[in-house]
Amino acid sequence: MWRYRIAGIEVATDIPLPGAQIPASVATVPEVTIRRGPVPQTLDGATSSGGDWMMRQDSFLWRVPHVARFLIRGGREIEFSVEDAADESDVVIYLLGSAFGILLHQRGYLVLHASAVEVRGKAVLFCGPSGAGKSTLAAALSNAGYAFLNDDVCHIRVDGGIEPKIAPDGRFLKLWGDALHQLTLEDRKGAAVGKSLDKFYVAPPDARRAEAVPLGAAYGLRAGSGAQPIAFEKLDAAQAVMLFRENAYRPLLVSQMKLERSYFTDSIAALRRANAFYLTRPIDYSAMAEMIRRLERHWAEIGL
Amino acid sequence: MLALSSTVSRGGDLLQAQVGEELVMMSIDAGAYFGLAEVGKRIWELIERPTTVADLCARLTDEYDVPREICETETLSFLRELQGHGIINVVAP
Repeated sequence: MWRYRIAGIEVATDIPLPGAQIPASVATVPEVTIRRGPVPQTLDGATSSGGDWMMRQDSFLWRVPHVARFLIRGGREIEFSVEDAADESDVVIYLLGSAFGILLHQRGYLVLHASAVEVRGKAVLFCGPSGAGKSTLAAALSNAGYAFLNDDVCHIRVDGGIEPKIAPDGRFLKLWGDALHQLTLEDRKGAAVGKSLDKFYVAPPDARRAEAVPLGAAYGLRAGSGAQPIAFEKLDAAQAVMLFRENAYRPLLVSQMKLERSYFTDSIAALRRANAFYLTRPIDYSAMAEMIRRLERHWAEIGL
Repeated sequence: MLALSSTVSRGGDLLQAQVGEELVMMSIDAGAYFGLAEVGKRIWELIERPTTVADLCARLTDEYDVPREICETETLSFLRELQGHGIINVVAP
């Protein structure tokens, strides 16, 4: 068995996960196990379903045609069955991405589609849909000395009464070839992400942070244009809660798994201690140095 | 038609929480979020139990030192907005 620490959770697997980091030490009992198994084609008595998934209570069946089927249970196990002659590296993408994200939803966490870095002991999050530039921004900030926390999936752990925390992903960044080149991270380039994408696992430039940190600020990324390319707009609490809800890792699952209430409560807990902002900026790598300067100025303004 | 003589009260299935001075509410049914501050928040507090709009305005006029007519116009406008979002119950006489 291989052991990893992913999103602050102790995981034991029976296939290696090249996108995940190996912890320095392991707890005796893993919190989550991932194993090969005979995953059925359908789930009997499913209470809801979509094109490629079915769900019944705390069992979730998800199929990626010609790659793998995943059975995710109780926020504690993932069983997978490889389809056809799919390459394991392709299976791993889906395992570490959506399958693990679904598991986090099952655990009732506030799971966001966001990247995060650490700024003076606090987590700064960037939310947005795929392609918004979350990972690239986190990589650039990480290059600039801010410890990397998360690439794509971020969960805010709210343990009753104690300050909400963000644990480091424990996963490598996944960056497109051209972003890697622009950010001059070729020397940190690892294995390719799957067989056919021009995307690579990248060891984060600065991943010294091992423990979870409290939330410092959250930014919803928006594409800018023309006149005022970089702008910050503070959100009121209702807008901020909506930002988190809209940027849930799988918004549909939040309603399907009846997690609306806990998402609301957890978001409120997080937003009592930190603010959220819209960040409008051009999607242009050459402006990254300026983007970082503006962020640093903003952090000084908001007391981070 | 919502009027001064209507009785209003909070609708059901709403989550709410205080963040600083703001009252944040979420309607699971409507899938919508609301942020209330200051007077809006006070109105929400006052309609926890059914009350007529007229009584509500009498209360607000006391608390906020605002002319009765202005209070009524703005309160009705605010309540109609909440009604439009489906988060209050309205019983016309």
